[in-house]
Amino acid sequence: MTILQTEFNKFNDAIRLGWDNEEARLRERRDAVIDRIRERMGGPSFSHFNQGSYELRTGVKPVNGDYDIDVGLRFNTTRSEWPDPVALKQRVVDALSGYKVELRRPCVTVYYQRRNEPLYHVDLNVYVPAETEGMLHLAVGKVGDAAPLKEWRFTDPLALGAALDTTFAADDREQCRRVIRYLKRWKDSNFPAQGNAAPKGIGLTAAALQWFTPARERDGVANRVHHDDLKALSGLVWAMLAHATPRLVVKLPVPPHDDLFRRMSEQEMSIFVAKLGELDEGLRRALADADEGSASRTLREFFGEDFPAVTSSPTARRIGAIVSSGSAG
Amino acid sequence: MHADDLTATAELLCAAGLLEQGCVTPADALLEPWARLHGVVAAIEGVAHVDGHALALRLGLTPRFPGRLPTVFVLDARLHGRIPHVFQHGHVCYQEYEGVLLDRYQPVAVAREALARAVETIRRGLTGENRADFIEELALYWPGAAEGLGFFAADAQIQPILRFVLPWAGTFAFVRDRAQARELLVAPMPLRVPEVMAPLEAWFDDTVTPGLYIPLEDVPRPPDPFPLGPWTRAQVAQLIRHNLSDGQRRRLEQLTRGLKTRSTFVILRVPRPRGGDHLVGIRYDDIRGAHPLARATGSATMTQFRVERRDPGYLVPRGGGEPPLRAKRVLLVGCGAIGGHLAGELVRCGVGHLTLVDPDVLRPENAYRHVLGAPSLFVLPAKSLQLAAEIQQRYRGVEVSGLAASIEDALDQGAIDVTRYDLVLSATGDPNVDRGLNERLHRLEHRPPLLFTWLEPLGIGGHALVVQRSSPGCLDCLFTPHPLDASPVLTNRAAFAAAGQVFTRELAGCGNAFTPYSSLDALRTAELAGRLAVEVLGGRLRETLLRSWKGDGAAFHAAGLRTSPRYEMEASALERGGADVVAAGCKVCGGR
Ligand SMILES: [Zn+2]
Repeated sequence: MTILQTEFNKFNDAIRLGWDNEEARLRERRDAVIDRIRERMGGPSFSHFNQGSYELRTGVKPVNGDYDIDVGLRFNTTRSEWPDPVALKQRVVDALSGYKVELRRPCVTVYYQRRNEPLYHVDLNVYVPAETEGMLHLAVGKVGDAAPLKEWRFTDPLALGAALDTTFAADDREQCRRVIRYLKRWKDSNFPAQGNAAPKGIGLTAAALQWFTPARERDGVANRVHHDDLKALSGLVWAMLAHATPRLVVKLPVPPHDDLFRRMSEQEMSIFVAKLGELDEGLRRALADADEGSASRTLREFFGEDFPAVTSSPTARRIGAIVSSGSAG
Repeated sequence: MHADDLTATAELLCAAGLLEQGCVTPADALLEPWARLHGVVAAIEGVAHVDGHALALRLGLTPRFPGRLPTVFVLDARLHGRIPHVFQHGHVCYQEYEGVLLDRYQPVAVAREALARAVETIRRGLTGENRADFIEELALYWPGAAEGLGFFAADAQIQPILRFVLPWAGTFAFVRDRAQARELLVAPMPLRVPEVMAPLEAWFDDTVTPGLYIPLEDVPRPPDPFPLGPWTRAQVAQLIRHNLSDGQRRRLEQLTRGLKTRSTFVILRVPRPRGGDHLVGIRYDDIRGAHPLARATGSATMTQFRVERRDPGYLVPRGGGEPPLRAKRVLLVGCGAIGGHLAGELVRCGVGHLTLVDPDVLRPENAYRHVLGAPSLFVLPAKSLQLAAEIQQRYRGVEVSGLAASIEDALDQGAIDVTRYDLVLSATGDPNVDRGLNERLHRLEHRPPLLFTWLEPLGIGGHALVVQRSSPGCLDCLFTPHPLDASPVLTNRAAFAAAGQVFTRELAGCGNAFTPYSSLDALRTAELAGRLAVEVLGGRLRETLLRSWKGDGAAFHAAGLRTSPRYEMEASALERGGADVVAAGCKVCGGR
């Protein structure tokens, strides 16, 4: 019976997108882009907000070095004033002349490149307010799309974050975030980045929101709660597999209630489910393994080098053999 | 209340009709002995109807009335000493003072209820209902003065005992044997050298008189009529003979044969109807012929006397201690601030055998948090020896021994066999010593319960953990991190202080580091551990249990120290204790 919680914590520290270098750079880029749009666009006015994994704090460092940040631009206008969503997106693209910008169907993407390697990109999502309080319409479509492909899609980009906050209590929520990060890193390490072969991060997040159960134990003496990430992750993967009949359908818990894996083909889906099965088997094997070294090697097969290898016994790893004691008699 | 006010109160009581034909007692009567003896400064007298008889009564008030009960007297001299609870001058003992709360704003009601209780006491006497109270209160009715201190164990067997004069107390001591007498004689002596011992032995030989201890069986019938004043030889002999078994009677005959002295004495144990017993004494002088209690005739003068009891069988229950603990043996490791308090408290709780183990001498800088106070300027014996001697001197009949050694050495050298104890209690406060002891004792198949107690700095709290075989967990479990702890550190999971801080202070450089805590913290910890020990020894607690007290933390936080999540728990829950001590992966007990 292995636990490897120390290793999972180190793994989490290694992969999480924290408030350190990369994230600071990302925020700088984001602010520069937004300032530029405000300067050049000349109306309508907008407010911006973080969304996606940045807002959910479930971001992981990309394996290929392509950091991204999702920003929502909430324009103070209406659908009726902008019947063509692509027109408004084009205004944003125009304001960013000089940047490497691409008008893509779901958003406007700004790339920062160094030696032709994509290093950072900022996804700008263009919204106008909906009639329902708090809801928005997302500008969908790209230049040259036929009319049916262009739409103002009714959505709530902050719903996942709100759902995460209301579904789990503080420490359990953190475990949920960690487990999402582990799944995302597994996705990045095991699927090609291009196309729809890889399950979307937002889909994995929504799946966790639906099926994650915290795994923890209370130490009644110390009055502390300790989380068991391996068990929680294994439980979630098992639940996802159980719902893959045969497609895994995970719907956004808010309008438009899309199936977040809908773009995966039958073949892509079957590969995804098969790999999920392998992960499930691997996690169970690690859980049952009495040897922490071999359990850690099993996990490294799925999560890559950032998951630490256990070489010595766990007690030898404990630091501080001489500590100050307040006990007296 | 002032005398004039009391007279006014007395008039008020008359007017309230407490007694028929009631009137205020004339001032000159208040100069008589009955009034002076009981401090009565105002009184009323009149008639009350008791069981069909018209009885003349008097109700006296003292200056403390109504904060004190009034005194009630039966004026009919024929009843004095004839019914239980009616004494000299007809004073009626109707209520123990202890255990009453008086309505100080309602003097009339207090007097009325007091009178009603006194009348009920007299009524029960007249009908004979409370005849057994003569025995219940025998020590009160037993004439004669207190003549000495009884140190021997008042058990069930008739046996010879000795009386001698305690030189510095100028009173008799009644002891089991010569050895017990020697113990009493040498107790105050700082040195036990022959030069000191020889005169004491000689003194004993000069003053010793043989006598008998006779425990009566069941509750004896009081003589009828109950003797007023001194009893006759025949009345005493009858009380004894009528209340012995055949076996005891034969033993008494053997022991009274061939008396060689002109004087002897008997200490009688008289069981009380409502539990407990009395010890009363009879002295025989100028004996001609056989023992006055033997069947043969002879002559002797007889004097009754009372005994002040100093035997643990009597004193321990009086102190709230538990008599069954007398047979219990406790090994106390560590005689510091906690251990010092604990040793005394365990004895006061009734523990009969105590072994103290501590190699250290008392250090002057700890004087203000050790029960022994400042060390003597002359000799520096180990705390264990000094504490054992102190306790032994104050509590006769308790076996206390000290061992000036570390517990590790004592065990290595076989000086201590822990299996001979009913409880091993460690108050060293040193987690390394305690964990060693825990591991060592865990290997023993027949180990006694193990109790560890320690405190934390600056009044933040203290702990007591008892480890028992019938349930899982041990001390090392507390030092075993939870298997899911992502950042395990070496710490005590029970600690109120957050891990990774330094608590010791230094008064004067190297080697003088000390943990700051006060004597009150030690006392509170000792109390927690002591109560736990008594529950375990009494067989009322059979599981492994951790209890803690938590202080307010003001001084602790002011010192810039941080508390642990455990400190956030409810104080009441911490004191009630938790049995979930066990930790999977404990290297000593294996979490089982
Ligand atoms: Zn243990």
